[in-house]
Amino acid sequence: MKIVKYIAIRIVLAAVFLFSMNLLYRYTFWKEDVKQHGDVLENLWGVDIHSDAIYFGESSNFHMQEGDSIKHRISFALDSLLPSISIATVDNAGLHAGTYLSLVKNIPSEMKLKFIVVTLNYRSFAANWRYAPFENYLSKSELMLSPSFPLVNKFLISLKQYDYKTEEERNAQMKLAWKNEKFTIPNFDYDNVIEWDSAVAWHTWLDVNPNLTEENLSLASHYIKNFAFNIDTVYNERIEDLNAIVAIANDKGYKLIFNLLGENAIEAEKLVGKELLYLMENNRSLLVNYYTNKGVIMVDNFYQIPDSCFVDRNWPTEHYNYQGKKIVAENIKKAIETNGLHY
Amino acid sequence: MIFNSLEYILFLPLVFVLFYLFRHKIRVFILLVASYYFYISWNPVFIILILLSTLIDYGAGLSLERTTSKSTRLLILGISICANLGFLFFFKYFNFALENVNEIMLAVKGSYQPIEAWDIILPVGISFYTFQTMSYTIDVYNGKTKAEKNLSYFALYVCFFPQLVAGPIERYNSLMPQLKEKAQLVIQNISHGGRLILYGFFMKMVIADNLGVFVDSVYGDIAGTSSLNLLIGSVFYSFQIYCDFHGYTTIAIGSAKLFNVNLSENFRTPYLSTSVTDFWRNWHITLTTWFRDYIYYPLGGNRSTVLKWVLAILTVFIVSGVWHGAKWTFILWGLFHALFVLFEKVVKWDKQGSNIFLKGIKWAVTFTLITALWVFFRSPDMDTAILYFKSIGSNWNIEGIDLRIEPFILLGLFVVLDICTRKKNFALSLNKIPSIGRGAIYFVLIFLLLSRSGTDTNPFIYFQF
Repeated sequence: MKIVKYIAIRIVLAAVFLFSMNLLYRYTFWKEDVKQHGDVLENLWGVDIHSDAIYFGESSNFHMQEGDSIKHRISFALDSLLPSISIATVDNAGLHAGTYLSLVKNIPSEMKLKFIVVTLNYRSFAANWRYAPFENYLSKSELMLSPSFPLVNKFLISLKQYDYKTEEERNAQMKLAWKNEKFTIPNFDYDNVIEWDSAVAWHTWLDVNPNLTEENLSLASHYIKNFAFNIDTVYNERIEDLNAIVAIANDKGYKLIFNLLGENAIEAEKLVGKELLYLMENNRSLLVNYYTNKGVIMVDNFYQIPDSCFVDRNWPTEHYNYQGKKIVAENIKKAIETNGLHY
Repeated sequence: MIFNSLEYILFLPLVFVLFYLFRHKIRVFILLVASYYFYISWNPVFIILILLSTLIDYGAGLSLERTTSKSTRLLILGISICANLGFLFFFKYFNFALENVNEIMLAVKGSYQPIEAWDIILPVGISFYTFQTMSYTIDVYNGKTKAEKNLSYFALYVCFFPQLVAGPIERYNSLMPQLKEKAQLVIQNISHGGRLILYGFFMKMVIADNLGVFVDSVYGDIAGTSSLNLLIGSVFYSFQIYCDFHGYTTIAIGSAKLFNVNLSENFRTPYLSTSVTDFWRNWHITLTTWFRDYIYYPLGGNRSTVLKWVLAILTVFIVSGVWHGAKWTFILWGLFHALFVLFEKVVKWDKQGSNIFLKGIKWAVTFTLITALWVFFRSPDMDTAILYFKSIGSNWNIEGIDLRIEPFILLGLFVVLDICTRKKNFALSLNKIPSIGRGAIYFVLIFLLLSRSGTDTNPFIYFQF
C-alpha cells in the first residue's frame, strides 16, 4: 500500500510538472524549434486569418527561371486572377501529401475558408520520392506539427520517433520498391524499374532509340525512376494521405481542389518511349477519376505545359517559367469559377 | 534497442513490473528473457555469439573446477580465451589485419593483388561481454572464484541487459551474488535508480548530443574551420564522449538498481584529474581495473624490473587502444597515454607540489593533454588527426563559424553538477538536498531533457566498441 501511495503521489506530481513544463516550453523554445524542425508551420502561422482560401504547394510554386520578367508564384498569379477572393500561400521545397495533411490539420479553426488548393505532384507517388532521404526531415516536421503537447513532440523527435531512416535504409527501401512494384504494360519486356533502367543503363537502347545519346542517357534513366510506376490506391502512402485530407476537408466544410501538376510528357516519350507515356496516362486518369469520384475538384494540368516552359533540362521537375505557372493558375481559376467558388 | 529510445522507456518499467510480480526463482528467467530480447531487438543473429560465449565459459568453469591436472587446466583456459578472443578478433580486427597484410605485401612485393576486405558487421557489445566472461574463466582458473553450476544464472551474468552492450564490465564475484539474492521491492531503490536514469539521460541526450552537433560540424570540415572553433571542438568532444559514456553507464547503473543490483561506478570526475595516471584511475574504471588485474599484474606490474614495468605499461595502454577499435589512431592514442604515464612516473609528477596554484597548473596540463589525445580517438584516420592539429596552428585567419550560446550554458550546468557529485553519485548527492530543492532540480533536468535534447546524434559512442 505504501508503495502504491508513493507511486501515485509521484504520478500526480509528474503530471503537474509536465503540464507546467509544456507551458514553459510553449513560451520559450518552441518557436525556435519549429523554425528548426518544422519551418513549414511558420508559413501557416503567417497566413492572413481572413483569407478565403489557402494554396498548398511545393517548389513548383516558387521556383523561378532566371530570365523571367515576372517573378510570381503560381498562387500569387491565381490570387491576382481572382480579385474577389484572397488566397494565402503555404509552400516549401519537397512537400507532398503527407506534409500537406499535417498542415491541413493545423489550419486555425477560426479561419473561414471557402476552399483549399493542394498541389498533386505526379512524381511524389514514385518510390524515389516516397523513400527519399529528405523524408526524414518531412517526417520530423509532421511530428513537430502534430496536434499533441509541443514538449512531447519535441522529445519524441529527440527519440527519433518519426519515420527516421539512414540514407542506406532509404536507398534499400527505394530499390526494393523498384524491384517489387510491377508494371502492367502489355507486350513489354521489362517488369519493373530495375529491369527497365538496367536496359537503358547498359546502352542497349542507344541503338533502338534515335533520340538517345550518351549525354542524355542519364536523363532517360531519371525519367524511368521518376515516372515509371503504377499507383496502387491501397498501398501507396500518398493516396492514404490524400484520402485523409479529403476526410478533413469534408469534416471542416472546405471545398477541396487537387492541382495535378503538368509533366513533360513530350520529353518522357522522346527519351524513353510510348510505354512510359502509357504508364503516366494510366496514373493520371486514375488520380483524376479516383478523386473526382470522392467529390474533389480536379485541376488536370498533366499535358497542359509545353516543353519550352520546363526550366530544368537535366532532371525531370515541375519547375516552370512564368508562362507555365500562369497556365496552371488559369486552369485553377477556371475550376474555381466553374464551381462557383469565387464569390 | 538503445537506452535513449522510446522502446527502452517502455521496456524497462515492463520488465520491472514483471520482475517483482513473480517469485524469486522465476525472476532469473524474466531477466534472462528480457536481456536476450534487449539484444535480439538490435540484431537477432548475433545472439548466437552470446550463447556460444556463455556455453564455452560455463563449460570451461565447470571443467576447471573438476580438473586438478595443471596442463589440462591450462588447456581449458587456453581454449576459453582463444574462443573468446577468436570471436573478438574475427569481428573486430580481421579486416584491420587484412588491410595491414595487404600494405606489407605491397611494400615487399611491389605489385600485389590485395585481398578484399570482408563485409563484417561488428556485434554490439562484443568487447564488453567477452572481457566479462574471460575474467570469470581466469578467476576460476586462479581459484579466486568457484565455478557457477546454474546455467541460467551464469547466462544472466553474461547478458544482464543494463550492462550488456557497454558495461560496466562486472566481475563474477561482484555481480553474481547480487543476481542470486532475493530482491525486495524497496522505495529507496526505485528512487535511487530513477534519479540515476534521469541524470544519465540528461548527460547523454542534453549534453553529449548537443555538443556532438558542433563537434560533427567541425570534423566535417576541418580545413575550413577556424583555429578557435577547432579548439572549442576538441574541448566539446572531451565532454561529449564523457557525457555520452558516463550517461550510458549511469542509466545502466540506475536500471540495474531497480532490480536491486549495484553495478560498479565507471567514472569519478575524471576531468578534475591532475595527472594522466590519475585520469586513468577515474576514467572507465572497470576496464582499467580489468587491464590492471589481467594484464598489468600478470606481466609483473611495478614489482619487477624497470624494463618489465615499462613493457607492462606500454602493453596495457596499447591493448587498451586496440580494444577500442581496429585503427592506428586508437593505437597511437593508447601509446601516447602510456608515454605520458611513464613520463609522470619518471618525473614523480604526482609528488610535485601540493599548493593550489601548482595543482591548477597540473590540472590544466592534464586536461589539455587528454583533450589533445581525444583528437586521435575521434578522427576516422591518421590523416584527419594530423590535419586537425595542423589546422589549429594555421587557421587563425579563418572566421569562426556561428556558435550558439546554448551548448556553453548546458555544458556549464553539467560541469557544476559533475563537480557537486564528485564524492557521491547524483542519486546519493540529492539526499542531502531538501525536497523543494530536489523538486527544483528534477524540474530543470526533466524540462531540459524534454525540450533541449539533441536531435541529430543518437547512438552511444561506446556502442561501436
